[in-house]
Amino acid sequence: MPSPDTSSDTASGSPSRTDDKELVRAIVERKEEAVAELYDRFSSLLMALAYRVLGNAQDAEEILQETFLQVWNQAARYDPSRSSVSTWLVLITRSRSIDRLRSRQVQQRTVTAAQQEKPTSHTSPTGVGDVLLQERQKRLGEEMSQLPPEQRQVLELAFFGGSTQSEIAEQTGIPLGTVKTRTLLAMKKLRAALREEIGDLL
Amino acid sequence: MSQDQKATVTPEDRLAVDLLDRLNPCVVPVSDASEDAGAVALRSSLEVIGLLPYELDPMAPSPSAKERLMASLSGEGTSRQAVEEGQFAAPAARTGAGDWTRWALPLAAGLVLALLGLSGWQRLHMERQRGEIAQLSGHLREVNLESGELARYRQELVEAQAKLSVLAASGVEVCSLHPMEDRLAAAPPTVTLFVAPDHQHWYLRVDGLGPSPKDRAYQLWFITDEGSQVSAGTFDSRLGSRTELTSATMPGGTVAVSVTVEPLGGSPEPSGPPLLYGDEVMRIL
Repeated sequence: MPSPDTSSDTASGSPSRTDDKELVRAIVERKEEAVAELYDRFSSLLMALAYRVLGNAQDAEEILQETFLQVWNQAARYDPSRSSVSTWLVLITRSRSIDRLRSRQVQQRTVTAAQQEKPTSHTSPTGVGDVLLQERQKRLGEEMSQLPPEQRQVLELAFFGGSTQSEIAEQTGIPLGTVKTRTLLAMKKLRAALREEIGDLL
Repeated sequence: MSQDQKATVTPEDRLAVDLLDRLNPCVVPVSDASEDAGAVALRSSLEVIGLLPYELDPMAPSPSAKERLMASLSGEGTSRQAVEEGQFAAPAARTGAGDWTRWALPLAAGLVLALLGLSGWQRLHMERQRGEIAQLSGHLREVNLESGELARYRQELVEAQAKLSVLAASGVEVCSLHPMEDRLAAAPPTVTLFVAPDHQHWYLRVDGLGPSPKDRAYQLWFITDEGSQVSAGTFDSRLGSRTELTSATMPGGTVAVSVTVEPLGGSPEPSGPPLLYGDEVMRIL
């Protein structure tokens, strides 16, 4: 399940839990059990991300496999000074999902949440291990819902749709300057609201 | 819009927006805020972006996904667990109050014989199972190879369909790219861009360009009426063979197209003058 690194482990009250960065170091040493542990922590988050971008569970699962294979093969490239493990994994998954979306030439898909329908065969995991994920999900849900819809829209088109600001302007008919301003304000609000979570990750 | 115009904008804010845009391919940076912002601001902006998917409901992959992943890591999809099964327990010798020596020795001899027989049977059974596992592993490798080929064929089919949809559309626009360097003048390559009427789907055909210099690649650029140069990807070329590129996206307001030589993997913006350039469009009815 997703978690920040050391600091959030302490916060979760499970001091015996291995730090995400230590898991990556163990993967560099070719320890398969570290991949399994990392997978348990992040697969439901990354699967949700890939599914949100691609809208297809089978494709999302393939992206998940590719992501963890990349982690297995390129763990040595992870630089803790540049991002948390969580963000590193999110960016790999997102990048692969957007690449696939573009290669299949379906990026015109609208990525509004209302149009996404999850397959019933997949269920959300439950258990103590998901507490941090649920807390963070709740936190992000609250903050995203605080954003004005127009700011949320540009943010989602950029992050989940892989659209550039120019493309968003074209897709929505909103002037490019307005798109930039809305993105900027949304990011500014989120950075202020999530200061504590960011602090955990730094 | 009133909400759009509130709040003070700091270099950190601009950096966050810039970062988000830079995550997407084919983008020319829109501001130079990153040059002013510090490493901490860069990191915190990146972490904000990394937190965004947490708003989604978690979604568990299918139970077999993890098994497949772990099998991929170890390079073998078949468990050898079955081989290790088949353990048996020898019955414990019972002790009695009577004259046990009369039947204990024959019983012990019988047990030894039974053990030897079982041991031999087990060895044969294990050999047979090993053979079956090796055979199944072979089948699995073949299936994996076939599914890889299938995916490749499917991708080729998608590309061919995209190409056909561009070429067969009525009102398709054609733009020839002309050499801008003298060395190409003697034997100019034939480089043609076909753009579908929707101004989104396009197909580039390259003949006779020759390979790019060592550790370099050709990079295609769309030039918009605002003067932005948007990367459409990198490619290589070989004399005597055709190179083709296709995609379903083209920036709005594209008025010209060029090809430059860039480092492998491409550049965020052209690093030198164009090798090929075209801005004259001919419409085919």
